[in-house]
Amino acid sequence: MTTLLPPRSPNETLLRRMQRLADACPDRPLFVYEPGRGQEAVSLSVGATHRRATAIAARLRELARQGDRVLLVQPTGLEFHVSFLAAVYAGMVAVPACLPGLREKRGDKGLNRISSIVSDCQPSVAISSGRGLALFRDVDSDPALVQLPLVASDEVSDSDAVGWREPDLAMDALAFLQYTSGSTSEPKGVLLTHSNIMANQELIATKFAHSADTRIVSWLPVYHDMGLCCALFQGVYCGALSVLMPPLAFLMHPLRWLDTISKYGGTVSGAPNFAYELCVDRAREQDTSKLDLSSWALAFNGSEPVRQSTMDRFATRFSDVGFNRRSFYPCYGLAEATLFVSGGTRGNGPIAKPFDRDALTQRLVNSPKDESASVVLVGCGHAFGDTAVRIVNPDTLTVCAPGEVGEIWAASPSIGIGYWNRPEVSPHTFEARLPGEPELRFLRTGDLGFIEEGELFVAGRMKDLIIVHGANHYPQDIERVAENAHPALAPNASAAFSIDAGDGREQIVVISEVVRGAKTASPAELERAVRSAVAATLELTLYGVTLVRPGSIPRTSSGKIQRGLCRQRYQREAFQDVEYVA
Amino acid sequence: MSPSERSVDGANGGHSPLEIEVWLQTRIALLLSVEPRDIDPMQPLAALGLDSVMAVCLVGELELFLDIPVPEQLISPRASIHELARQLIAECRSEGADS
Repeated sequence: MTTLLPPRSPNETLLRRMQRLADACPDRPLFVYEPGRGQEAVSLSVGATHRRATAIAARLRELARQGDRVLLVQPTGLEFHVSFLAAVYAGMVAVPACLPGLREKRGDKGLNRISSIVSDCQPSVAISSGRGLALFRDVDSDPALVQLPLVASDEVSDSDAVGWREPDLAMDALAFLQYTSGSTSEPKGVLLTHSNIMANQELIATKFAHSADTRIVSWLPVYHDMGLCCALFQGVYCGALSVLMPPLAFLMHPLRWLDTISKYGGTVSGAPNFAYELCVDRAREQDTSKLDLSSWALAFNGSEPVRQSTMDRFATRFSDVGFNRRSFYPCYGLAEATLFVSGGTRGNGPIAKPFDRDALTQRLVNSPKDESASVVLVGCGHAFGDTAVRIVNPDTLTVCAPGEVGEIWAASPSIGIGYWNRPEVSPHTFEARLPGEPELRFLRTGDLGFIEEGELFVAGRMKDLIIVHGANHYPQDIERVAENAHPALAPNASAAFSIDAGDGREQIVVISEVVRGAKTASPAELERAVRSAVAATLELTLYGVTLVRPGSIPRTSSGKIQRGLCRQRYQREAFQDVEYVA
Repeated sequence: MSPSERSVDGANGGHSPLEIEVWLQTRIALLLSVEPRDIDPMQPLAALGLDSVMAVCLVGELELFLDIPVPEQLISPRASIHELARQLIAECRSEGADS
C-alpha cells in the first residue's frame, strides 16, 4: 500500500493537500475522463490540475472577493474538477449546479432549478465552459444568469496563474454550498466548511482503506454529494487515480460502467441501488464474458434504500467475471453530513436480516412471526471515529430504548453548519441536543432507523419524501403538478407516494380525485394528462395513476392528506377507479 | 412505399423508420404498462410520461437494437418517436455516404 501523503494535519484544506501532492508527485495522473461514444480519454496529472486550478482562481479573484459565492455549471468532463478546486484556491464558496439538458428551454426543470439556486444564494460570479456558456450568454436565458460576471474556464490560460495569491483559509470558513435535490420550488443549500470536507474524507479514506494505489471509477453526477466525494475529494485526499465517465454514458449503456472498471482495474466504485438493478437488467441480453471485476474490492451502495434482492441478483449475475459478493458495501449518508455517516467493515459483505413488518410500522423491532410478515433490511454499518449516531424518539426527543425505531441523529465534525439563509429551519435540523450529551451538536436526518447488534438499519423516512434514481422528490410537488394537468382534476385532492413494486425499485403512484360534474374527459385522457405533466415538469415517470371519486382520498381531521394510508389502500387495491367522470 | 419508408442498407442492419417506430412504441408501452396503440409516435417522450432517465435508457437500448450511435441532441425527453426514427435513418445515410 502506497502512501503519498502523511495523515492530514488539523489545519489542512483541499488547497494545502493539493499543494503537497503537487510538490510530491506532479506527474502522477490524478483524473481520467472517459467520454465514451468513440471519443478519446482525457487525463490530467496532479501538476496540470494544480496549474489549471491556480490560473482559474486568479481569474476569479479579478471578478469577485474572497468569501463570495461562485456558481459552477459545467458539462461533464474535467472542467468541473479544476473549477471546483479553483473556487477553493480563490478562497470562494463553490456552488455546484447541474447543467440543463441539450434541448431545455426557459421554464423547464433544469433551468428553473439554476434560477432558484441563483436567487437563493446570490453568487458574484459564475464558471462554465463549452456548451454551458450559452446559459450565461444567450438572450433567451434567465436574465439573472446573463448578468453574472463569467469565467469561461476553458478559455483561461495557464499563464494567468502568475496573478494568484494564496488566500488565508480558516478551517471553519465556508467551502461550498451543496444544494439538496429537494423540493423544486425551495432548494436548500447545505453550508459545508473546509473542516467538514476534510473530516469526511478522512472517515471515508479510513473506512474504505484507500491509498494512493486505489483506483476510483465513477459515473455519478459531480454536482451531488456522492459524486463529488467519490470522484473529486477522495482523489485529491488520497492522491488516488479517479476515472470518470458521464452519467449519460452509464444510463444509456449501464454495462459500460463495468467495462470501465475492468479496463482500469478499478478498486472502488459505487452508486445508489438502482444502478446495480440497471446492470442486471441489461446483462440479460448482453455478452459479459469479457468483463473482469476481480479488482473491484469495494462496491458501495447508498443514498437510496439498499435492497438485498438487488445485491443477490448482481452478485449471482457477475460472479463468473470475478465479482465478489463481499465487496458490496452498504452505507448511510446525506448531504447535510458532507456525505458519509456510517458503513461496515471493508470485505465483510452486507448484513441483511428479516424483521416483523407490522412491528416496524409501530416503531418496534421484532423478529418476524412468519415469512409473509417479514421484511428484509440491509444494515448500513456502524458509526465510528468521532461520529456518534443515536436513535431518538421524535416526540419526546430522548434516546429510544433498544428494540425501538426512532429518528436517526448524527453528530460529527462532518456535519454542516446549516442551510444557506434558512434561520427558521437550520437550528431545528442542525443543532439538536440530547439530555446528558450537551457537548454534542446533532443533525436530525429525518430518517427512521434502529440499531441492532451494533448495526444501523434504516427503516423509512419521517417525511413522505420519495427517492427515485438517488434524487429526492417531495410528494407535494408531484401532487400540485398532477392536479393542474387537467381542469377535470380537483384541486388539493391528490396523493403522491412511493411503493416497492416488487422489483426492488421505488416507484411513484398518484391518486387524484376528479371534479364532480366534469363530463368532458375520459379517465384515459386524464391519466395521460397527469403522466405527461409530471414527466415534463418534474422529469419523473409515474408507475400508476388512479383516478377516484371526490372524497375518496383519506384525510386527517384537519384535512391533511394521509399518504401512508393511501399507500396501504392502493396496495390492497381498495381504491375504486372511476369508470366515467360524472 | 415512399422512399423514406424503404429500409436502408448498412450499419443499421436494414431497419426502416417504421420498424424503429414500432420498436419504440412497443418498448414504451411495456415500460408504462399500456397498449402500444395508446402510444402516439408524434408526441415527445416526456409527453408520453417518460422521465429523462428512462428516455436515456431507452435510447441506449435503441442503439443496441440498431447497432449505431444515436446523436446526442436526439437523446432527450423532448424527442418524439417519429422524430427519433427519421433522424436516425438520416444519420445512417450520411454515415453510409461518408464511407
